[in-house]
Amino acid sequence: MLRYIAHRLLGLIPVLIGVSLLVFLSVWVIPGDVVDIMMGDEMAQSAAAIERLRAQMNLDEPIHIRYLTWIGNVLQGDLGVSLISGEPVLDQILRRAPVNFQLMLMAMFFIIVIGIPLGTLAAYKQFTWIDNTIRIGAIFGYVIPNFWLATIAVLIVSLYFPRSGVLNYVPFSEDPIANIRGLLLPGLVLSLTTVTYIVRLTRATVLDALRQDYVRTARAKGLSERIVMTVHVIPNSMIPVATVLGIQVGVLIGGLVLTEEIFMLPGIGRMILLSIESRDFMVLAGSILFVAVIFVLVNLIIDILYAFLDPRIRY
Amino acid sequence: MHDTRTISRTDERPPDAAGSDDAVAETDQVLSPTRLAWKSFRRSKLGLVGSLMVLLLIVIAIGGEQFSPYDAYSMDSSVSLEPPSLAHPAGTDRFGRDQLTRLMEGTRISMLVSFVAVVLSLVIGIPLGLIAGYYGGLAGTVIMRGVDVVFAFPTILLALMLVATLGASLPNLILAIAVIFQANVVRIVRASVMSVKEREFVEAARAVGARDSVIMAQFILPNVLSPVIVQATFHLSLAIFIEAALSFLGLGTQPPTPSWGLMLNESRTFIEFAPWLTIFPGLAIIFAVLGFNLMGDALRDAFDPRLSQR
Repeated sequence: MLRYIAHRLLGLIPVLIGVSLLVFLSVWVIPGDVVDIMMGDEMAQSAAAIERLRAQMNLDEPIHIRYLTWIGNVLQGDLGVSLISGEPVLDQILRRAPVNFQLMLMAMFFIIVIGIPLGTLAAYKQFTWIDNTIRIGAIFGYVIPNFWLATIAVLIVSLYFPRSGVLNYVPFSEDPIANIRGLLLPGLVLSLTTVTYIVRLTRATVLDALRQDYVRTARAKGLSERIVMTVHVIPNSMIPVATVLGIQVGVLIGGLVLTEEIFMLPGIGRMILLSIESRDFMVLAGSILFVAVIFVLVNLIIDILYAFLDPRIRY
Repeated sequence: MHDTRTISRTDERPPDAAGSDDAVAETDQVLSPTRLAWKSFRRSKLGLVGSLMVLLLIVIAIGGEQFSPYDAYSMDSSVSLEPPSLAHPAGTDRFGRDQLTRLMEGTRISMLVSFVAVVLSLVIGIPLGLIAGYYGGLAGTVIMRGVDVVFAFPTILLALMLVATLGASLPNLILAIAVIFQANVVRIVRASVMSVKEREFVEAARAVGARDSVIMAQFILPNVLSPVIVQATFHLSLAIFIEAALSFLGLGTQPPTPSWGLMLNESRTFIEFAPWLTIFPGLAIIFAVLGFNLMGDALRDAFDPRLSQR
């Protein structure tokens, strides 16, 4: 097990180098006069911003030196400062990260409490109208673009429930209940695609478990259906579901940008969009690198947990 | 669906159900696996529905404005923001443009983006996957590390970053989507090549002195195509989604070109008094994504009969 973890950690190094190179190359190495392009025509080209950019990017140095300087700073926790506000990028990220974390938790909650029971029910009632309804619903949930659904949800709430407070984001420290209320709808929308996927997957794995010999044995010895399901079927069908739940964290991270934009939440996704709009490439590079690293680490933890949960996997 | 890795890594099948070779039914006559898959695909009702939906989209994309008395770009302020009526079945937008016509024109954009991006991803991904799977070695390692890097980003975020830095335009969007998809294609091709290359028929070809290029083109490639085709079908629907999402964020298609995502973006200002501008583009996206997904599901079941039994 330890060898496996060490192996995976070593394998992480080239990936992280590649990630940082890709971010560096795509954000910082743009043909033409970099500063002019970055600052754009429509931006007020304040001398201070240009000066900040020139200073941070070491534009006179050759490219590999620039990369090494940048990555050296990053490794020391210095992601640079915003070209617009002058605030350190890492401070900005850390200030916004709790919103994302909460939103992810909220979405995960909906995925688990909606997805797994519905999938299990569909499998248990296979080929009945319940099963068919759930399956058709899952297909539609899967193909409806969540940003469209979010827009419609915002419309409906603002037309019919304008005072509900569901659309107002309040920081957790100010009012925890209002905070959770404000994240319900974004979390639900964010979870939608994954919920439908988990429904389909749970249905498949539960069906698989229902056909196993140990289930037949359990039924043959007269156990109630309740016990058969809760003791034998459900626990055994949860390992693949748990893995996919982990993988779906990536989907959720990707969905944050759209969800935050529509619900106007002050998270990292909106920060990325704002940095693109204002051409604040220091913030863009820093925040994308941050998200990618988190994503890679989450995937690693899931793989390790999976190896830990499933004794058949040995490396 | 909104992330490429969900499809390739899980396949909705528990890990222990994998294994076993082609399940070719040995009945009266022996059918080739491709013929068998085709037969099974035709039997699938949902696959048929999906194919018809896709066909309709392609016809609209090619025919475009010829089906409509209006022009997708000409403005007429006298009919600005009209609700759906007989003259304008999907209403009109702020500039009095007929929305149905713009949705048809948007179909062209969506189909163009998804097909070109997917073809491009195959053109890049298949050779790289063949090299990585067949030769391995240093080239294989370099290729696979590159793939890992692409997979280290959430899909939408990588597309966002590439488009933001290359510049928001249709060709750059296509390029960004192709770069993301090719990583998945490389993985799938490499995995299939590795499972095929030690089989007897490849060894036999090598024994009679066939060159590597011949072995790859004639013996290995046909055997890796079916998973690639299935994945490409899912990529088509994913490309439609990514295009819509990025255009919705203002980072894809630029005005006045009518793309579904951009129409959704533009409609947000008027959503309270002209909701039809929001509803119809969304329905168009659902229609397209559903069509490609139904087709993809049927193709996957056809090529992998073990899955269709559940």
